[in-house]
Amino acid sequence: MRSLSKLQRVAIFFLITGILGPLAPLTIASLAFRWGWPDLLPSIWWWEKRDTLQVPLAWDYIFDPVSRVVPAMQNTILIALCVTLLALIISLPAAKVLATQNFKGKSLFELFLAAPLIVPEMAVSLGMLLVFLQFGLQGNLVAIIIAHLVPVIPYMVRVLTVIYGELDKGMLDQAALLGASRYQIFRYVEFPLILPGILAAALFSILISTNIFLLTFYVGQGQVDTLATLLFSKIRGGGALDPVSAGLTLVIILPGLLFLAFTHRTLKEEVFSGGLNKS
Amino acid sequence: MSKGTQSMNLLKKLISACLLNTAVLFPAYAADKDIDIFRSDFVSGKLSWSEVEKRAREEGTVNWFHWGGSEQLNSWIERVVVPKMADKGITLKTTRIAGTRDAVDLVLTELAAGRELGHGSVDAIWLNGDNFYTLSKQEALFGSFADKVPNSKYFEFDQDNPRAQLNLSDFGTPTQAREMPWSGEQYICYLDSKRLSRANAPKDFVELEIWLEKNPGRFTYVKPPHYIGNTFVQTALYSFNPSGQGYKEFQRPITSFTADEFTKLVQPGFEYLKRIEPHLLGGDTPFYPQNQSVNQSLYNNGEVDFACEFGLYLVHNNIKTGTFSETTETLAFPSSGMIKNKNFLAIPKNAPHPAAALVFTNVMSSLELQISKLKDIGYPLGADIWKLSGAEALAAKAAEPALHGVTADELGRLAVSDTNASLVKVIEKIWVDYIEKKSSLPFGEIVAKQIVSN
Amino acid sequence: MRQPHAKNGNLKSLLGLIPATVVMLVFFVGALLLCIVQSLGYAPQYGINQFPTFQYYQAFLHDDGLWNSLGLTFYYAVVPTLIGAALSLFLSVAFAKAFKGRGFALFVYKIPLAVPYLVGVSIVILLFANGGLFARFFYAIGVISSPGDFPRFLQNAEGWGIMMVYLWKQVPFMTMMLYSNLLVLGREEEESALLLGASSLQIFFYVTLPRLMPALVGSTLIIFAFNFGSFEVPFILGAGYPNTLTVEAWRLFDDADYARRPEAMAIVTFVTFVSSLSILAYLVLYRRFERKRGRV
Repeated sequence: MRSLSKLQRVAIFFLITGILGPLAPLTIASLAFRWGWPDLLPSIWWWEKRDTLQVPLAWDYIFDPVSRVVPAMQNTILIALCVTLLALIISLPAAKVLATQNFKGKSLFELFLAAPLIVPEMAVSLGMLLVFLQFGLQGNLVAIIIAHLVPVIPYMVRVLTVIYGELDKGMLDQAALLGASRYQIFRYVEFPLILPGILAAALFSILISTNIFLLTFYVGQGQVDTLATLLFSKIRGGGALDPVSAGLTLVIILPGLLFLAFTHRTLKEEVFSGGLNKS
Repeated sequence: MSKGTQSMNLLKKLISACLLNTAVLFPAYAADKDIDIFRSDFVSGKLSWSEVEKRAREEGTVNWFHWGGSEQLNSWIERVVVPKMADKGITLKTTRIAGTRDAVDLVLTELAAGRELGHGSVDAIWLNGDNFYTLSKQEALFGSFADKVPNSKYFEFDQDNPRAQLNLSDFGTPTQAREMPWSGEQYICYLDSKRLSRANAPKDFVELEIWLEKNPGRFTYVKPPHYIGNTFVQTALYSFNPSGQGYKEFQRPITSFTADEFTKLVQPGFEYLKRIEPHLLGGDTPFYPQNQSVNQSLYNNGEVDFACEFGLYLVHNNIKTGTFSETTETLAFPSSGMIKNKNFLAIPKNAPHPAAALVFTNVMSSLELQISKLKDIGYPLGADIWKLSGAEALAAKAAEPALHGVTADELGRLAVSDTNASLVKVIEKIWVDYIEKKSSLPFGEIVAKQIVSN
Repeated sequence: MRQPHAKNGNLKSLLGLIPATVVMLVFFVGALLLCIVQSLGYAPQYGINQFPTFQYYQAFLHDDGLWNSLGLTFYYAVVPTLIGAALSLFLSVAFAKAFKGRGFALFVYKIPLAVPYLVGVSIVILLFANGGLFARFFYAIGVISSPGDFPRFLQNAEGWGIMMVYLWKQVPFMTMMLYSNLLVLGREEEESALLLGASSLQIFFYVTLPRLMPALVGSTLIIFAFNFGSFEVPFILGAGYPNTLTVEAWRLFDDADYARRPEAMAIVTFVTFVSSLSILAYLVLYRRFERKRGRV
């Protein structure tokens, strides 16, 4: 393998700086009390004012129960886990069929499953709100979990189809020949073989679910806080970033970072190849 | 009947059949008899307050929906209001919404789904203007209660007293005591005395034009249809009202105007706004901030020398949290009249805990909480100062945060009413057409178009 | 791979498709159908029952602001997709090489994938607002004398702030898609081209790019579709007016007057239609291009 050209080195440097660089000013902004133009650093820091005011500022507010950051984080995680579990249950059989069977209209069906990837989020969100209004289900966790299934399932089915496609069918046949029941085959042969794929798909699904804002916002009707909706209500004005918004941004980045650090090895790039080739 | 309409009707039937009506899925909630009796007894004054409080304790909970964008307010509610309600044996559950609209939506959706009296999920909403108008138009309010809770003594509800106007009318919609005045606001401007001395600052719209010619680009205003922008435009229209009556004509609903009359009323003001546009921030490509948050950052960065929005104690509050520089002051602009209004607590018709909601509004309008709110987070009194006893009024005065450069008397003298909600809609659309989209139509036609489309 | 064909009698083997199909039919197709039905005037909950009527389509199709908004929607969607695709191609080829700190780079570039778009919005506000850190830096070194001299990136129709957020989130996404394909495709063809004396530019354009084409088309398609229908980024960082069609739809849906909601539905239906049409056109063009090159 050849080494990087100069231009490639510069490009990768910019990519890394562009991603990690903003963490420093975000941290500073979250610790500022007053950071006016044209100061490069805050003129008054948060801890200097901390004791003189009755109202909690910056990190004090974020850590105070009043900010409801903790319940929002719990909601975010709970939703992601439920969505992932449900999506797995729904997607696994579909992926198995798509990987092993040929049938009339298969490509049409695949297109149908891929459609949520290309239909505007706004249309899905508003339409979904109407669906839930019909059922009287809007504004709660269940509705949000169901809503998140729609963008998650297409990815999941694709990733799992690839995994099933690579599955060694011979091993399953052998097990059947040896007299294993269908359950035994699944439990002792099929499941361990596809487990790495399932893990990768699950992690990907968690990533998607925690990233969703608009669907949660509409279907939740402002009554269910997630980290994304909390941040939206803080920065929707688009004015200067105040310390609480900066802190909240960091609070949202952190779990993502930890998550990546722990799953880096499982979330292999190879899993995502192929999945897209078919479109 | 032609074949076309026949098949059309069939299609309609099919669609109605497909769209599951919620009434089919869920049994229609019968209006709760017990709550109905409670409501009519309370509204007609048959119930004593202690009976209401007793029932409220039995209900045990109250669900309040409020705009949750202010950390100070959220903390104050948790620190002060929640314990006060707990004293009454009621758990206060708050839902922080990004826009009041969400709560109104919820109430109307529930009502449409047949969740009538007692079967909703919202007990109280903090609102004013449009949102109250919507609930009132849809008949989704609990009833006249505000003048019947004990603490109504701090509020002027006397129809004959002109000072009662702010409590009796919410953007032109008669309140009929269906919402409790809870807080007030006034449109003010703020400047940084280090950059612009008070003496050099414009005092009215005529001076603003001269000032802008000398200091091009040093001012801008929030763009309609944001309500902060609408209010600025309304203030300008008041000032250039050809009748010289200022805000008076703007209290009437749109239906009482012909297109011609309305054109005559607003044309001078809009022409003024058009005239100053090249001197605003950005010059040839004028920049109007979308909302007060962007406007504040323009001010903080020194891109403009002064800016306007609602907030009697805004300067005090924002210096306190470090958002504004210590040298920021309030500016009484324009001297032709600064819009003042109140905001309210409303109880929806299908509130699940109506007695607790009544107790809640009573607690919120108590003098103790009114003063605490004023002192701790700088939200103006909803109570009317002339209804307070001497000692109470002194306590309220003592709690007032600093106004930074203006006096309460001055602001009180300049206070004028907000515009009728039905006019606001037309005015914002005219602004978008005439200023933002630079419509080439003659002004009269723009107005006529918007009045008709309304 | 040889796959058995399901016979008519063997429909049982397709049962596995049912759960996914049901969820998608009810909550996805159902959602879109309700949008369409409401946009055609069936919204009894707001006292509107004129089905079928095209008045809500006419209302915004006749508005002179429509073409402006549609233009902006396309502009915010296409420009970052193109720039992002170019950057991602370049980066993915670089990632396939051996270099010091490669493991670290391969970890870091995934971070934007793990956070919501709103994080990007926060960062762009902090750095690129007229009073933001870059403006302050240029002020400190004397390049500009006031925040007004700094180019306006946010809250105007040019929309550079919007596109920066898209790029920040999407370059990593596209890089990941392309790089994963490179990994699977292997490097044999490139290496034989190298042995035959091709320059690295030649290898890229004649060997690597054609092989990456399907993945590139797939990922740009997803990105374009996402940008076309996205809401929160143009809502916060765009001009209040004019803005994208989705923000316009939001404004109508949020209007105090419920009677305007069918118009919002008409707009999102229109957005969906235009977006699908664009994607279809893109795919047709791509097919034709591939056929010309003698593949497929």
